Amino acid sequence: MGERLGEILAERKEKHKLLVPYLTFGYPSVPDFLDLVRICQEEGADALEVGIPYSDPVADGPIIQTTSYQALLQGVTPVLVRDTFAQFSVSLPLIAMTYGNIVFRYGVERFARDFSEVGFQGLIVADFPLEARPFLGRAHGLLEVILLLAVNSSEERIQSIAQESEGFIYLVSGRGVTGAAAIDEGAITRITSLLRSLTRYPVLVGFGIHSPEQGVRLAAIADGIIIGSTLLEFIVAHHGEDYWKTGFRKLIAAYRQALGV
Amino acid sequence: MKENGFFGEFGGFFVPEILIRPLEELEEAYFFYRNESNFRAELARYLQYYAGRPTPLYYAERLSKYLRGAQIYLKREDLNHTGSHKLNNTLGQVLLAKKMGKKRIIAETGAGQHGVATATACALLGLECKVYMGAVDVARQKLNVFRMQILGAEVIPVYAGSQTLKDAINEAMRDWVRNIDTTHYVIGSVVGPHPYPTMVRDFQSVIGEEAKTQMEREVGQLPHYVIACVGGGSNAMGIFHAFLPHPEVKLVGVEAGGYGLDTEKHAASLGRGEKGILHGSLSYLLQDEFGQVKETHSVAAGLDYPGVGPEHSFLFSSGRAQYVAVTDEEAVEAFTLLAEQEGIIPALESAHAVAYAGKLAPSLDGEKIILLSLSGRGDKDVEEVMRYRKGEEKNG
Repeated sequence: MGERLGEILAERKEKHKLLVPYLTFGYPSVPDFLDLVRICQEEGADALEVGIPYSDPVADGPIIQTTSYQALLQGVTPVLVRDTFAQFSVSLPLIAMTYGNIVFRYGVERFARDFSEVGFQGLIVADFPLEARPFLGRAHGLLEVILLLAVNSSEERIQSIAQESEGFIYLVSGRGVTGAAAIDEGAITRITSLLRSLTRYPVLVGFGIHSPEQGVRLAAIADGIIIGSTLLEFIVAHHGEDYWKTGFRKLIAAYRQALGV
Repeated sequence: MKENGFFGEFGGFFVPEILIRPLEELEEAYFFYRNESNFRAELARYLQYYAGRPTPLYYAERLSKYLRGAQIYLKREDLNHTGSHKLNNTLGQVLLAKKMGKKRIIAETGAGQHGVATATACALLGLECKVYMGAVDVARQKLNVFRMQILGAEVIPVYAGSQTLKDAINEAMRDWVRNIDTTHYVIGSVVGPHPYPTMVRDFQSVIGEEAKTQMEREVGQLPHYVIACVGGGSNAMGIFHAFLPHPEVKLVGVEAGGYGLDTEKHAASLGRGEKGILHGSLSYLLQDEFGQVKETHSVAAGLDYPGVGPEHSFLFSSGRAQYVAVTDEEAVEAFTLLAEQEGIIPALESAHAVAYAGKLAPSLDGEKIILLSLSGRGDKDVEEVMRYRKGEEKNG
């Protein structure tokens, strides 16, 4: 394994605000998805979250529910994700984002070994809070496990999560599911300033960001943003149209431009 | 959290971080009020004067004679107000939510019994109520949808996934994540993250406590077997709990066998499932080799669920309780059998327990006693049974 995700991002955040897109693996198709990954890389994303679809995504809003469901219908499995990335090389750091049962069923150690071998560096499990972190113990040294913080997390939990999280801290922007959170800038400001003294890892804000302008405002408080639903919303609406991938490229470029290159 | 919510290796709280604080607040409130005398007295008063508890223990003499074997006693939860055991839990939770200052209640429902019981408790205590229900269930349980609406609840059909109970829970959890400050989520079974499996079991344990006292007083002994249907498993945990300290009492949970356990169309999480995580707890789960949750089938909407309460998984793996399955066909036969022999139309869910009693009783001698949890009444199912019989005629 090369440089750790946490080191890469900590270094990059000195240069500009971080941009981490999320894409559902295999949506709208595997070849299209890989083209989108390439575009993210070419347009200067700092890392990429690869959503491994789960049948019951309780933390996700309607957009990611739809893309996950469609991907599952097309036969996407964790094994296909692994095998695809074994054949496809990217320089962009990859982070697997999924739900606990997918990793649990695959076997935590096997998952961590297989996915680190094909280029993944991080793992986010949407329904595993701090207390479930020990279940991922066997990923240690193979994948950096990124923990999520919420706007209602207690100070005590903020401290523990800052200590335990690897790679970066994923701060969920407000109350709600992906694509539809009620963004709470006050809480984001308060928690980020607390985190400054607790961790050297970057703080990334995600859930419910729908425009570069909004992204810039939140990135100004933290170290960067994660965008998923807004990208997938574009893909759901436009895929199949002429030049839709150019449109996607422009969208990523607009965020990159806004956050600094 | 004060406790980790595990029953052996099962349970826990596998939820997004945003739900930790509301779960902590719920645990704290529940742990306080469960021992607080005013709360206990208020709940006891509602259970007695409003719900009509204690429900009778009824000796099913004709059914026992017909089956020629063990003596069967029915714990008549079908006589509880709203027609099922579900009200025991919703009165407890909605009262608790009110003490916590919540203004809004959400719930999921499968057969509609839990939705009706939640809407009822909300009407009684003056809280706003929204019920999520799979679109398939909305279609097959129309009567209960109207009942909820009459009671002032808003029913939201859920079109995601299999459009049944599991998807209704997903949608209710998403609502809760948005509205945690104002809203309490009344989960209807012994599933979900801690503290739900413990809290719901406690509110339902009144079934077993009453039944145990009634057996001692009215029959003079404890039963040899306790039988209850298991979807998520709330009526079963409710009746089993009082008998856990009595190892001589055999506990039997009856799962939905659908078209048969060797088909893909059933809901026997313990019979055919493997360990997995769904809706916040680790338990047995019907899933594919990659961890995707399977679609289930049962003629009884209330059993049509791929998971099961973590405490059942614990009782199953420790061997303290035994879990069996009966098919749709057997359940529908038992539905008619109980109606003909005793003049009681059971819920299709409860008919699964009746069906298993119908198999077990003839194998036992006449001294043996079976206590059966008749968890609900079957008015809601009359249409479904008519449909089922028509389908049979077509296929047969």
